Parts: sequence; C-alpha cells; structure tokens
Amino acid sequence: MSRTPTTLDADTAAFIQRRVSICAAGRNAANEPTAARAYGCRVSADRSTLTVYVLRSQATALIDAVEANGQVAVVFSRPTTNRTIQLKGSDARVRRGEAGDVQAIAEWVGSFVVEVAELGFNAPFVHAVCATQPGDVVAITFTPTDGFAQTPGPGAGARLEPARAASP
Amino acid sequence: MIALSSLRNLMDGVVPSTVATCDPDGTPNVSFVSQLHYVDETHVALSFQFFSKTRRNVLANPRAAVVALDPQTGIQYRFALEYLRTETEGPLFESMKAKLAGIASHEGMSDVFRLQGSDLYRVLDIERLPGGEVAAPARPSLLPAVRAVAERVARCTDLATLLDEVLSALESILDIRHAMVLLTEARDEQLYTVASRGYERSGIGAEIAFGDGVIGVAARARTPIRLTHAAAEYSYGRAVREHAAAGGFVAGLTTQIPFAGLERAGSQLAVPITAGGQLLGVLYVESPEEQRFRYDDEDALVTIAAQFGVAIRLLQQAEEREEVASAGVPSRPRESGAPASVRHYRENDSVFVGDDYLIKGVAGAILWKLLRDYAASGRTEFTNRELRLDPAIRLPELSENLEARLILLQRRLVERCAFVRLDRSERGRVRLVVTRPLQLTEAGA
Repeated sequence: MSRTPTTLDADTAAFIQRRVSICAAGRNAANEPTAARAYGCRVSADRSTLTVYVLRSQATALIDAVEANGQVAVVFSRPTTNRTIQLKGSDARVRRGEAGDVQAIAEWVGSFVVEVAELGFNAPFVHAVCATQPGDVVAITFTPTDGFAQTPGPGAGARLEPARAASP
Repeated sequence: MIALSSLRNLMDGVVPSTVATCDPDGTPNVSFVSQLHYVDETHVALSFQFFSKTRRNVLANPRAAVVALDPQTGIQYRFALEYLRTETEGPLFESMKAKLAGIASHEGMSDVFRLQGSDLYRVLDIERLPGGEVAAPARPSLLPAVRAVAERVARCTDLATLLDEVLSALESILDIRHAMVLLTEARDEQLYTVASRGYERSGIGAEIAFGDGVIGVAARARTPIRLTHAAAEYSYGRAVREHAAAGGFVAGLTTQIPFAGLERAGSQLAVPITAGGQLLGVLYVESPEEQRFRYDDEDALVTIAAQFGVAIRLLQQAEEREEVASAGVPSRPRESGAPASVRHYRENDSVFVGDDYLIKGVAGAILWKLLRDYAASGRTEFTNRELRLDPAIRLPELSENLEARLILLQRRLVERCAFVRLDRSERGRVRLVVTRPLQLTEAGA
C-alpha cells in the first residue's frame, strides 16, 4: 500500500537533525529485517526528503536491501527526553558519502556528545562509538511517506499527521 | 557464534537497543526497546510494554534484528532473532518486570514503563560490528571469592553459626555490606528474617509475604530478582506497609517487626535458597550504590545460595538425628523483681511481653509451650524431639525447620526480653532461663 509523501513540519525536521540517536532498518527479498545505527540526518530545504548516514562496514545487508527494494524505516530518539519518532519510505536510494556529508555527520556528533553527556557518557566514549571514516560513509535518501510517534506512553504508535503546507 | 554470556553486561539495560521487524507486505519497522534480556546461551527476551507494530509484525513474521551497544566498550552487536512466544508470568517475566521497574525509575518513566510480557526469541546469529571502541575496566573473576565463601560455609557445624557465617563471608570476601537471610513459613506463604548484617537494627523476625518486594517476588517465582536501580514498587518500605495493613494486628496491637533494609537501595538482589527442589528461603543483598550487582554477581550469589541451601538442610538433619544425652538437672536460676505479664493469642500464636510484641507463629507456639510447662512444673529442660512432636506447636510438616524457629526465638528474646532466654549450648536440647516471675495469660478466643 503506497502512501502519499508526508512533508515534514519544521519542528520534526529540526528534531531529527540534532541530539537524537538514529537507527535505520530495511528488509531483504525474504522479508528478513536488518538494521544499523545511523550517524546523523539531513533534511532537504523543502523538507520533502531526508538523508541518513550509515557505515558500509556496519550496514552491508541494509545497504543491499535498500538498493534492492527501496524500503526503509528510521527511528529517531532523544535520549534525555525519550521523545521518539519513526519515519518510513519506499523510494530510498543509496549513494557514496560526499564531502558535504562529513560536515553533516560532524555537526550531529557534536550535538549528540552534548546530549548524552547529561546521562553520564563522556565525550571520548561517544566519539569512539560515532567514529566514521569518510570512505565508509553511505547516504540513504528517501521521501517520508509515513511517520509515527513512538515516545513511550499512551500515544506511542500514533500516526503523525502530515504537515498542512511547507512554509516558503 | 559469539558466546551470548559474554554480552550480558550489554543486556543490563543502560543503553536502549533497537529492534527491526518486517510486516508480511514487506514494510520494515524499527523501534527502541527498553530491555534486551539474557535468557540462556541461545535465547534472549525483549520487553513487551505496549501493543506495537513490532509485536504485530513478529506475530506474523517472526524474524527480527536487534542492534545493541556495549555501554562499557562502545562495541556494537547485531542479533538476528526468531520470535518464539510471549510469557506473561513465571520466572522470566518476573525478573524482567523487576529489572524494567529499575530502568523506568532511573529514566523517570515509572508511570509509563510496565511490562506486559516477555517476548522470547531464539538467537540465530550475532555479529560484532566494526567500529570504534574504548578500553573497558577489567573486572576480576569472582570465582576465587566464591571459593573462599564456599570453604567457610563448608566448615560450619550448626545452623546458627552457618547463618551468620554466610553473611560475614559476603562482607569480608565480596564486600557486600548489607545482607540478610529469610526463611520460609510455607504455611502462610511468608518469609521471616532469621539473620542480618549491616543494619542499625537487626530486623530479626520481620516478615515478608510471598510476592511483596524484591524478596517476596524472588520467593514466589523462585528466581533471582536483581535491580540495578532503585524502584519504588520493589522497595520494602511499601512491601512491609502493605503487609501490615493486610492483617498484622491482633487485639488491636501490631505484630509487625520493622524490616531492617536500607531506606533507599540503589541495587538489590534476592536469590532463592533451595535444596532438594524445595524453597527454604531467600538470600538478600543490597547496596546504596546503583548498578552494584551485575550478572556476574548474580552468578556468584546463586552459586553460594545453592551450597548454603544444602548446608542448611544437612545441619538441620544432623540436629534431628542427634541423640540427646541425659543432662544433669540444672540449678534453677533465682527469679527476682515484680512479675512480668506475658500474653499469648491463640489465633496466630503471638506472644506479648507487657504490651510489646515479641514473636508469633511456630516460634510463638514454642515459647508458649516452654513457659507453660515451666509455670506448671518448674521444668527448664526440653528436647528438640519433644517440641517437634508436640501438637500444640503445630509444626506444619515434619520437614519444617524447627531449628530455624528456635534460632529466631532465641534471637528475638536476646533483643526484646531481658528476663527470658534460651540456652542452646547442648545440641538437640533447649534450656529455658527465666530470671523474673512471670504472669501468663491466655488471651483471645
């Protein structure tokens, strides 16, 4: 069942680009799921597509699956508040990391270090976990067609309403 | 495949894991999961808290992938899993429920995180993902410490010494400073404290109902319950209060002995003591520190409790077999002072000295028999065998632990009654020592 594209609202777009823990999932032809941690997210200027960054060395099965069928689901959660959303798309495509991606990853890492410091994780630990080699980065870009609130609590699992109109 | 037991610290719930699933139409789903729980070398369980897409998916398509991070080293692992079933009661469920309560409390989510079920998965594969890592502090093996405790347990020749020796060894060898032993009162699904260490007041005689708090849940589910963070719903404050409200009164007087535990324990571990398939009690340890007891500590305590249980059984049986040599008639100590009132309530065998609650249950019945015989004939010498066979004492079963009741009674008297004590220096025999005149009253119906 295909759904219409969901333009992200400004708040959601801001939320998924900073301080969040990110995990991307896909599935192969046998509907076997796979997942990998992602290191940052960029939303396009018109907020119609987003890109997350994974490492080829950690995410071979995911990259293969996305290349084969374009299906992707990505969850974003802010560790200090547990605010969580999941976005899904079916037009995902992959490409090698580029120079601009390195900057996006560095900005996300910087914000994530600050975020989890509040929970007692020190910066060297977070930098070790989030270390990326430019040649290893793979960008996954998709148009979100479905979104779900997953913050733990009574509202978990509710479908996100599409933004009414992207502000110019 | 990587040994699952080597990844247990990763499964202690410090960093949430993510779980990916896929619906039959081929749409993937990914969400965070509070708890990835070690079950055994080929199984893990995930906490099921809300009816979610993850749950709908695995019911239709059982495959799942989990990405988890070792909070010490930063190394990531990916698990390929196959959903088997959901458990909503029993040992796995109870241990996950308790652990989740600790995690929830730690994250300020106590009102939100509540375990609905334990989703059990078979582990198909584990991949260690390449990536950065940091050096983790090496934790020394606990085996030498377990051995040292075991050697001290093995040297004990009577039950009272054994109870204290275990707690002393836990402190001096494993640096566990707050601990207690509770034994079962199977008739009432209760546990009573018979030994403790590291508390301002001993709490000897304090009772915990099966199912109440960490200790009661460990007894009911017969599984170790370990909390790495403080959780209100498992603390004793509440367990004890609820029990008191549920009927710890006789004739308007409380028969509650305050529990000794820490006011705020950051870590708690309750391990059932069993022998021959029977639950004998619970070994309970706690610490003000969070994350003080890890999986390895649980292994150590479970191993110690197994030997402890066998030792309890053995010393109890040795005491049963003991032939009582006829002792010389002891000189009766002189009574002095004003008569003291001692009352017995038959409904629960509670005994009060003045208005102060002393003891109840089997230990209360034993004391009342000793005092009545003493009042009637001046008798002070009793054999364990006759106490065991006395119908007034109503030992629930022959297997019930008379020796433990005598230890409990002896300790309560030392703490609460200056003029009645039990001398138990001769094996298989109890000597009653009364140093003040007593006025015995049978109260109630």
